[in-house]
Amino acid sequence: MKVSTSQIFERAMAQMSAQQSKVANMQTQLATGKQIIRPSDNPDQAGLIQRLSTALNRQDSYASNLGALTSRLKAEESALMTTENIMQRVRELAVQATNDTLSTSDRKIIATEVKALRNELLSLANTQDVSGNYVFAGSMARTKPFAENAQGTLVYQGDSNRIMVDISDQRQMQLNRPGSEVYSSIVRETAGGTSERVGFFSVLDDFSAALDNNNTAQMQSSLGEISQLTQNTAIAIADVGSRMAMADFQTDALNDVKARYQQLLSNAEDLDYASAITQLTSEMMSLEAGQSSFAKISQLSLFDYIR
Amino acid sequence: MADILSIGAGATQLYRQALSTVSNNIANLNTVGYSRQVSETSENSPSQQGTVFIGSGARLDNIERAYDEFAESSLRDSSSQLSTQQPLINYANRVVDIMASQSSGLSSALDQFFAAASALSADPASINLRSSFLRDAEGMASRFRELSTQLGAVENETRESIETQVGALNSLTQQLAFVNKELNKKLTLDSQPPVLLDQRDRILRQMSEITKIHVAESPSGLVTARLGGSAGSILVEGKVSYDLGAVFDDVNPGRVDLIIEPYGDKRVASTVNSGMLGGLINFRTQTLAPAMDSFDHLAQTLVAEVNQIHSSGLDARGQRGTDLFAIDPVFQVTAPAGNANADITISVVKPDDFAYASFKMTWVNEQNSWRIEDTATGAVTLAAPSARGFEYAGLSVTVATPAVDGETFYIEPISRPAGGMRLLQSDPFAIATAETMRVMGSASNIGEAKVTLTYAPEPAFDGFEYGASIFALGNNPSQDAAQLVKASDLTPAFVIPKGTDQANVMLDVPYDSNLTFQVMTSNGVHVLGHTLSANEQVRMLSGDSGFSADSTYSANYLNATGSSAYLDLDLTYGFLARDVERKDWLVDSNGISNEYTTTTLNAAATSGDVRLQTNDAAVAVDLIAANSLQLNGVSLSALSLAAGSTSSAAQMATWLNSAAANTNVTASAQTIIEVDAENIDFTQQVKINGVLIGNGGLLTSTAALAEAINAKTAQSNVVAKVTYDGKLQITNAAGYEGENITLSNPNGSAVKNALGQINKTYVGQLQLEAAGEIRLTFGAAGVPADLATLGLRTGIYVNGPVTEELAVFVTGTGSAGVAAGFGAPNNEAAKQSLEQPFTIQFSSANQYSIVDDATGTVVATRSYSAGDEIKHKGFVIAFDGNPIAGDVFAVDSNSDGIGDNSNMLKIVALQDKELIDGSRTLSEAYIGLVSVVGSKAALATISRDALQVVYDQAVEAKDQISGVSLDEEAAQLIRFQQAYQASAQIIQVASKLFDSILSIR
Repeated sequence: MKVSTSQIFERAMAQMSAQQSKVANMQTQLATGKQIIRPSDNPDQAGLIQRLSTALNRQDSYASNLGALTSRLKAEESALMTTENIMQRVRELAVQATNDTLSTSDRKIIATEVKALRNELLSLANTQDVSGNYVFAGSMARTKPFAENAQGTLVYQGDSNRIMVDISDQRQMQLNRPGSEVYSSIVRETAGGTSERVGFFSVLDDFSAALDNNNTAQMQSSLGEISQLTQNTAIAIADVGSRMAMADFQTDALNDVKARYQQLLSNAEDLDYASAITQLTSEMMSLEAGQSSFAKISQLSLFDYIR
Repeated sequence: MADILSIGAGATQLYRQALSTVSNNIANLNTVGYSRQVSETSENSPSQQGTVFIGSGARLDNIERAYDEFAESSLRDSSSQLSTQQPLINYANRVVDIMASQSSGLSSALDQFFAAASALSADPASINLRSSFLRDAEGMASRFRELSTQLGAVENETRESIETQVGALNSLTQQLAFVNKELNKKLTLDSQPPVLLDQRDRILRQMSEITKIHVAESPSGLVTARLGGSAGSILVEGKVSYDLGAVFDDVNPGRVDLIIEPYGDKRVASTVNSGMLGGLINFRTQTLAPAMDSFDHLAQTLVAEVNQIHSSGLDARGQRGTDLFAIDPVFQVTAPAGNANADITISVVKPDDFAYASFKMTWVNEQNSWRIEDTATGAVTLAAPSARGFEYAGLSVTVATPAVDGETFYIEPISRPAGGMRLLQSDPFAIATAETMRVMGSASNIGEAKVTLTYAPEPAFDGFEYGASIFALGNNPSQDAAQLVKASDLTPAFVIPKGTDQANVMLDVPYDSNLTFQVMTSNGVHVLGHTLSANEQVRMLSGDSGFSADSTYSANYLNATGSSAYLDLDLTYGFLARDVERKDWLVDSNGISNEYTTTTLNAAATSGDVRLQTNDAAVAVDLIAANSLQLNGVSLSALSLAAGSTSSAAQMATWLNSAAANTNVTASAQTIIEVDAENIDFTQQVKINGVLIGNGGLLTSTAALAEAINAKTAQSNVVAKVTYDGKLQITNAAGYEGENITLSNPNGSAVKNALGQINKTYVGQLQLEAAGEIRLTFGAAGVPADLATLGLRTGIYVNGPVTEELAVFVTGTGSAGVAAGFGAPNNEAAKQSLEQPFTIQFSSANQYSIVDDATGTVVATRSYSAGDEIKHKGFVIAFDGNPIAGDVFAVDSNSDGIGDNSNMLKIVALQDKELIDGSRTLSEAYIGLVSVVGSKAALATISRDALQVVYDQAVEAKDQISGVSLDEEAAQLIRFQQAYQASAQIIQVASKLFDSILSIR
């Protein structure tokens, strides 16, 4: 078979440039540490990387939601812990006040303390979180939840919306607990035999009024009501506690998921240096072999022997 | 000796030529397209001497071109195929690199948008998060625009590339035609100069890189080249070449039309699917166009979904949200000089219908309409008559001043949907994060039930099972358009659909019918109709599943008006006529101005023929019982017919007028008999009210007849006149208005009389007039038949939009004609009614009612059992714990719920919703799109590698024949050199021989 001279040269050139581009490509891979330099090198792999990084981004946004949730829960918890302490004190005072040996002036002293504690509780009920949102106002984050209405009674002004936050692909968690459930009202039997709702602060106000008026019957019933309120506060604390535990648990789970996605992403994206370097060496060897064989073959010519 | 010398001389010459051929081969070693040449020698013819033939040397026969037609054509074909793949690979990879890039692809922008939405959902009140949501939304919109621009750039580049290739092909075909012309000078292939043939083959090879060509060679070496296969369009034939041109479609990048002689007689070229050109066209049709379409679809879907959610939520100011994104197509409007209008406004009103097609619009005075021609398909549509614009293919087109006949505009959308995506909101407070409505238990509820509200995307109530929409009756309330309906108290006959505005439904019944209308809501509230027995209530609410099963029948709002009406709707059942406002437009020097005066015209109504009844009994009877009818709220006394008397319009008018002081309605009556001139029978006579007309003889003209009637007015109490159109009109004389007119013929056996009318008593009609309105409604015992006695039709009149579907029953026995009229649907009112606050009041632990806050209307009373969800207007209200008697739950606007994130959560949820083709999420669809393009590129790469091998083999095969090898030429050089030296020796020998002869002395 005849091989024309120009073809010998052309083929050698084509082969060497192909080899050279392989080496250059390997070099870029090594320099960037990535398996794919341009997505078109391996579109399927590029698609996988996009998918994985979307999933990873998603986990990041869950993490940030969890962060927001945790900080909110902390604000809620600290307000509630203090509330519980104060309620304990109020209850002690109520027990103390119902003691028959107390004089009117003693009860007046207790009344003063109860009023101070009640104001303290009010400021706790109107707690704001770091972003200035009222913690216990439902979704009306910019409305003071416990404020006096037009009639001068202290009522709940928020709503009962529960705000749910995405914390994983499948789970949502409740961000808030409406103030009407935390600083909850109680049902009081009226003299007429019917029932009526009495707000948290009205109970306290009624108690201090009873102290001022030295109304022992009212004090007795206030003691019962205050015990109920204390119990409700305890329930709210338990609720916050369990939500915080859930958030912690979810944070751990999220970190695991993130680590797994990162691992997968790294597998898809990052270069395996050991094998890459081995491959580079072998590509370079074949390039050198091509070069040296070409140099030798191109020397061969019959004209050299015609003298 | 002479022969030896000549043999020697001939041989040296031969080998010199052979040596020069070899030298030429060596010299052209690197000439592209050069075919190796070989010198062919042959023996000279021998000379005969006696019986022997003595050889006379050799001569150069020909210098042959080493050439094989098959090797050449297989090289051409394989080069076409190989070059097809390169543009596919290059451009598909470009697209993949653009779209799949981590930093500039869409994925990261989508991720960021949804991450921002998610972050905002965790703290909707935060202004910072709202701002960053807007920033990332803008980022996503601009990413769509950028990618669309990039894809547009690829589209542009491939377009230019196709044009370049076509240009190169045209220049090659011209060269080939020129070579053909040169080749035409010789008759045989052997006699053609090799250099010309080399040139020809080189041109053909270059052409085949651009597109696959079919080559036919003539004996003299001329070639005919065709596009594609043997049946393809001719590019070069003999000395003539035909230009190729490419035409692009602005809207569909996948459409590229190739045309032969684009500047001549334009013929459609055969398909090109191979070569660079084929590869480029292939890329546009199979890769770029679908990718651009899918990308646009992605943008449109995303925008539509996000907008839909965003505009159904509430923003931080408590206002309803508006669209978050818009897709702005950019239009290029061109018009020939001399058009009156410079200003054309185009906007997309129905994005789904808008197809991005360009069109041409021309105003045609004769048809009083715009003629619209689709530029691509040539389809012509006529717009609705309006000189100021029209709607077409989802677009609304408006021109600034009324059109002038023949005015033409060319409208071309110049951007793709994704390229026009834009963020509409710039105000962080305008982001609608909150749900529109919320539910809250009253602070004084004794029960401990906690309540939640969700919005069911599909409304719980999806219409009545039976009953056609009144729209099916056609918008014509007249008697002629009525449809016969069989009465049924089990299923509704019709429904008045939600959003219907100004509906009226008319019922035609005879005097003795018991047919009635009944109108019910889906919650069993009886709105219009007649009091029902307990049995009837059950029957009516049980037949159709559209009625809420838990609801109880309520007649609290039956036929009520004003503030005690159901939802304060202005509903009337009976007969209604209202005063009318007339606008009189003022005329100034410029024609009709924008100013007008308003005149209020009194409410007026004319009845049909009133009931004709003779009381043959000995006592008076009631035609209409007392209190059966109410006129403008006033109960009417009985319409009594004395013994032996006959009813007439006059009597009824008097009866109505007796209550005029209270009703403010004045009634008058008139009996009119109108006779067409051609019906008058002058061979007969006539008696009117028992009085013979004329003097016993026959009359001969209409005028004479009228005159004769008027001559007897004093006795007959009627007058006659001839109308302008030649009719004879007979009416009551003054003072007898509305009295019956009896026609008879003195000839007792005749059926008709001179007037051509049947012999009988004719009754009159009532005319009612009032300053405000004329409203006839039913009292306890009244039925539509009572209105029919007065010649009036019974109707349901709804003034204003209906915000829920109403069921219309026709009850009684038999069938009645029903017709309907309605205004344009008012869907906005229906939508707004969804935002009307309402209250759920528990009257006991197992019954509640739903009360509309604005009107205080109890729209439903339903039974409740623990654990039930309450569904109303698409809302689902669920309880945790059981409500007890007296508990109240209010559903109202969430306008101050700045911290509510429900709506934002819906936007976040879009990222997991399978929006594209119902099977893929946005991000999956995008990645899928990229990987489709990627797999096309990968496929092309594999093909290229395989075809490269084929091509290399073809090159090798061709080279083996036509290529120049230096070693071979060196060997030939030595061979011919030696032969040359030997030939020279022959001359030497001849010379020596000659010398030997000469030296003989």
